[in-house]
Amino acid sequence: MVALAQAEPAVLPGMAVSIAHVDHSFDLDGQVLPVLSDVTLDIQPGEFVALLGPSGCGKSTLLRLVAGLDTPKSGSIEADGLPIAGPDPSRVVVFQDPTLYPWRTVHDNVALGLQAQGLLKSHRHRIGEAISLVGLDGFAKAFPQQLSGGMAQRAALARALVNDPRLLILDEPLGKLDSITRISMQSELVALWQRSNFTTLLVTHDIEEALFMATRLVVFSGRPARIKADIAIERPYPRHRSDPYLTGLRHKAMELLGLAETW
Amino acid sequence: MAWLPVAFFLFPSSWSASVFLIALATGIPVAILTWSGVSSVPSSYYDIARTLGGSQRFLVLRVAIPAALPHVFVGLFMGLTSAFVVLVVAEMMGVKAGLGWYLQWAQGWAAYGNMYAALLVMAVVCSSLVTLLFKVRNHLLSWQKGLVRW
Ligand SMILES: Nc1ncnc2c1ncn2[C@@H]1O[C@H](COP(=O)(O)OP(=O)(O)OP(=O)(O)O)[C@@H](O)[C@H]1O
Ligand SMILES: [Mg+2]
Repeated sequence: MVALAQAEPAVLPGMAVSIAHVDHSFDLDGQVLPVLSDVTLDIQPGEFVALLGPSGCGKSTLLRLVAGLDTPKSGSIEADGLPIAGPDPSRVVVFQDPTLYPWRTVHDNVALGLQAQGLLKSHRHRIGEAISLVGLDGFAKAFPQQLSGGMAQRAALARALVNDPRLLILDEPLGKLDSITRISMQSELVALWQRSNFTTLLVTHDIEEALFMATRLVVFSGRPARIKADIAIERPYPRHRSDPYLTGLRHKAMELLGLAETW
Repeated sequence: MAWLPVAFFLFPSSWSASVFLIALATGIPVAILTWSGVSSVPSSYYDIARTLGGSQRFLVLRVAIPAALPHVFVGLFMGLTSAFVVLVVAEMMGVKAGLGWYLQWAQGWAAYGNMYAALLVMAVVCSSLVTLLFKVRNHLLSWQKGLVRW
């Protein structure tokens, strides 16, 4: 499992991301739908930032902007001090849907990034390493339709990790996993992040997951999303879910999301 | 079929007219289904390739074409069968050669045995072409095994 990080100690530091006064909106049927409102967020290299907010508030939209797939209506987003002009393989996204290509095997799906960048020859060994890292040994030749939902999600994670990203953008990557796999994948991801140096941006619906994994928790309001709170999670790893410090933060996050009465 | 008189009017020789008709009969379904296949590729497929550093060329060759291939084959099947029908009809109308022409000729002489033989040959030729196309498709789209296929 640890092969990937040990074989090639990451030399490149994580990416710094600076989001400043970003507004974004969509045109829906002639109407303007504001989605992001004055979002400002400075992310240091190597941070693990969790984004939490009500469904449909604009979290995935923000991730698309950071990935460079869309450009914000106003405001600026910089990666290492340079404006983001478009997608780049140093910023890899794991989308909410695994979106594997049905005509490619797991192996060839994971190879996609290396193939697109012309690195297939020199980096071929990484493919197998990434596949075993997510526990899909023996399924390299399987087609996506032969995988379970959780396995497909793990294949999508391998497809991202094989590129040795400096910023890993995760949009509810564990949302489709059963709770057992989910809990072990949370530890795996944290371990992977600690061994490599990449910066992580994680969207999740699960408060406990955010507190278990991240160094910082950003809570958004409902649409249009604005930042309601930015909380540092000052706890060493490995963490324990029953840690009273974390349960305290959990209570605080629930309050911010308007769920205090369920405590 | 409505194009038949137009085709014979536009093209002086019946040979070129039937070539035109067949091109029309195959080209249109193939073009329409290829187009609809390419435009039905989910945009998330392109997003994935773009974030992983795929060039424009990569998006076309490695994403759009393989994703649209099942549709292209539907177009090819429709094109093949309608080309065959058009060919036979064109032969009946003008071209002095081929099975359609033979069919007419045999009927004219009341040689019904020969006519049915010609029909049989036609059916065999058509179905073996379709089978060949099926083989090609099954090879190229082997990943669809286990998925719902028409
Ligand atoms: N391409 C688009 N065109 C129009 N509207 C869009 C588009 N993408 C997203 N939206 C709208 O923007 C809003 C925010 O969407 P987004 O996907 O960012 O939400 P989210 O916070 O990720 O929600 P969830 O947690 O449910 O995934 C939604 O109301 C959605 O309808
Ligand atoms: Mg989302």
